[in-house]
Amino acid sequence: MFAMILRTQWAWTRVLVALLALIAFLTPVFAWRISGGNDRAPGAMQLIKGLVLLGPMLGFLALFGSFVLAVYPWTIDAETKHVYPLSLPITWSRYVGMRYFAGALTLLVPALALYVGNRFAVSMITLPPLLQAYPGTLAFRFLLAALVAYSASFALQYLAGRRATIVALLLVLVPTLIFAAAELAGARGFGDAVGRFLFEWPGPFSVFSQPWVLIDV
Amino acid sequence: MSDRPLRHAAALVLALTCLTPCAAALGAQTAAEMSQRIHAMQDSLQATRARYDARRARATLPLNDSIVTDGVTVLFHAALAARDRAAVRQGIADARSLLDTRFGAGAAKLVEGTVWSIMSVAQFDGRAPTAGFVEGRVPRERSRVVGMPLRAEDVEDVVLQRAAHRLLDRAPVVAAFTAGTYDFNEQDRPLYIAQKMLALSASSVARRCAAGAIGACRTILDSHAADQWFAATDTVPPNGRAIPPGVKASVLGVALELGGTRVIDALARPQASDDAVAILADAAGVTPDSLLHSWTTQLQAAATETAAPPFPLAATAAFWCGIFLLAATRRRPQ
Repeated sequence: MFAMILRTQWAWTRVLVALLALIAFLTPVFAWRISGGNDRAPGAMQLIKGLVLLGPMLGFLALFGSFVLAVYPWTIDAETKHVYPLSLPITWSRYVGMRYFAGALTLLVPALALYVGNRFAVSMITLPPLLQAYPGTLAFRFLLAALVAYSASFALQYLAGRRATIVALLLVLVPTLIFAAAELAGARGFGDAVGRFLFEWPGPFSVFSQPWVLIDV
Repeated sequence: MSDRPLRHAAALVLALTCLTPCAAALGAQTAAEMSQRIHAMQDSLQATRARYDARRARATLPLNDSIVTDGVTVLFHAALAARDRAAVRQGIADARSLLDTRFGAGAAKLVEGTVWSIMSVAQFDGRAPTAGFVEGRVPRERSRVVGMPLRAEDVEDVVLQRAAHRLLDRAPVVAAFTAGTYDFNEQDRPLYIAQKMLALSASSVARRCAAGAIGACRTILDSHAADQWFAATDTVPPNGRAIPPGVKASVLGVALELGGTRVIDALARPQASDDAVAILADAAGVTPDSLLHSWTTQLQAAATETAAPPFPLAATAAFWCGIFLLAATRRRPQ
């Protein structure tokens, strides 16, 4: 059963997954090139500087790519009013779980591509003795960010159904308005507290606020 | 009333002030003399600008109120709400507490006796809502700008920055060594960055220092040994610098951790030596090699902590994924 769901998930999202994998692979390679200027062989410092510029893009990639990966299969099911999953001899929660894990598995592809891209970029430079490359750690961090974004989007889509877009907009707009109102009313602490809850450890999106570091001491 | 005539008058004063040092600078015989005269010209311009700012501020910013808290006088030139005043008190108390906690009782003397003027920046340039902090009794345009309503953290930051400047003002050799950069608010991160900068340096001497070679550290931190900063095989960067000033500032941080208030007191006394590392070691009550040994040990410790695998992060992500998945299974379509 799971193999079949995984196969349909792959068939529906393979183009998007391939695109995500390509961008993930190219990010460290571009980071290596863009800070190199006219140098033919940029060094460790250039790669570090490049990732300072392009690193946040990995966060956006994890966020928006995962969002589409979570939402797209649901919309295909919704076109047939979920007749197929409801006709299966398994409970709805079991089906949702399998659908979730099938999507989560596909996230391994861009994470793996990022790992290969990291290895490739690191192989282009000579690392000074005290510095270490962390291609696996960076790819793992990307995978975690993508999984969290995927899970949040998945929950939003399966809870809100057709109204997911409106709910998503409200989830962005309402806190923004509350934050703006709190700022105007002089209660800056409120906005800070919400931001800290979401983006500081152990908040749900704390993985996004970590630096995207490939080379470190 | 428009302040255009005042602006024109100020421009005229500025122009006239420029003329004298400009003429003098042009008449300089050597490059060094020219540079010296240009610096004098810049100082003169800044003094004129400050006088103009102060005159304008006195004309437009009457003193509303003042408080004395924890030995610090705060003059309010803006009408601030009660919560802003509370934030000012809290920020000053936090700054004092941080200094006393980290360096021992008495370190807060770096904050005591200061006078701060707080004004609304909107009164100067229409930006709102921000507040300007400036040390001294006279509000000026060139101030440290923080958001309104005031937060204790911002006030603490402003006060601690000034405390660092006060510490360095007393010790010109150390100030030159750190290029005037030191932040009491930061503790572990400067050490991590310093280790990274040393490891990434084009100088092999700096890289040996990062590995713990004390002799290499002495060389790289000695401004008189610039000819030994780079080995023959190293590629010297265009600016000729082996390490940025922030690396040196972390030595001051370690000396302060070792000696506490003893260092603060020692730096206030006149220094006979022009070797900053020797001054700092003496102030901390250790030998220069011992200070540098502590420094490199702390640099390496800061680096190890940063490179640690992100297990807590993975566990947190797994937890939240589980929560989201559980939520997703709750609603069955009809």
